[in-house]
Amino acid sequence: MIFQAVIVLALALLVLYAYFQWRRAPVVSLAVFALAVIGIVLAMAPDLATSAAHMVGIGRGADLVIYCFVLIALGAIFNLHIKLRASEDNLTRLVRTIALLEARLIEDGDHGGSLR
Amino acid sequence: MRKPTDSVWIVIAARNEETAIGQVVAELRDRYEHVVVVDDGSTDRTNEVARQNGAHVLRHAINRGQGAALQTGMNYAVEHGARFVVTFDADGQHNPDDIPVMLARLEQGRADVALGSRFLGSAVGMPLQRKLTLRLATLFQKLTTGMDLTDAHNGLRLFSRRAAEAIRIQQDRMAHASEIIAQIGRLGLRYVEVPCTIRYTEYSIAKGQRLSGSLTILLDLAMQRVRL
Repeated sequence: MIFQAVIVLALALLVLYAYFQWRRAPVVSLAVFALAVIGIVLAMAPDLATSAAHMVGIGRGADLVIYCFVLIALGAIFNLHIKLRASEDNLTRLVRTIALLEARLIEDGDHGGSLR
Repeated sequence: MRKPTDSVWIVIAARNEETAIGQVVAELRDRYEHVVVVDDGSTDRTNEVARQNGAHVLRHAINRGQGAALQTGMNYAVEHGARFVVTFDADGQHNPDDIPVMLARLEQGRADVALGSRFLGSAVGMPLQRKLTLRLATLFQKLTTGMDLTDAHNGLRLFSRRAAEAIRIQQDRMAHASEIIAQIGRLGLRYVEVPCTIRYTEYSIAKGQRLSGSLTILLDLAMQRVRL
């Protein structure tokens, strides 16, 4: 029972997080909200998870939850990876702009005032 | 007096190449007015040495990879009115004498891009493993882009201004070599392969790509498709 309470509390915080994320990223917010709510329901009624597990050929409800978690985590990592690459592209553009700007400053005879 | 070679801009991406870059720049400067070295976040004296030998030096404050550095240098060259842009390796493996041959081919007006090929020319001291890797790369190139070239990852290229403006390298790291070829195909640029000599030295082999690097390149290329 104690662990049930911990999980419900953690997931409730996640619901709160989803609520505040709504404006910034509606899709992510909605997904997090849905998953957290499903998690709360399953934590409060473990039998539900078990019967769902049986339906897809998995022995225990807890196993089903863990397998789903692994899939979701992998998806999240992939998403982060894509974001990271986009951010790298931005960094490159920034570094390039500075390099060209610095060269222009030096060419304009401003030897002392480069960005170095 | 302006030499006809003044319209040729040589772009070199260099990271921690202080031992080789000086001679490379000096040899090029004997023949060409404009040599651009993009110092890609070096922690040694690359920047200083290149400058002392008469290169225009641009500085990437943070290392961004060879592809990113070449694009920066190409932007600079085009901004400064280059009619032809050459990409050249910093480690001394290319021979400046190959450039006039490529220039001649472009000046005949029958191509927008000239690509150096070590397999049409000669590769002095090429390790067997490097040879096999490159053969695989050309095969991969042909299968994915339909571009049938003899050499896939040669850093010696000559672009007309039009081609240099059209090509946009988005692969910051080593996959830019494949990306450039793919773009030449997609943009419908006319290209020729020109024999060139590669001097494999202990230094250039140590600095060059390994087989494991190919996996990174494949991953980079795959990820770009996901992004688009």
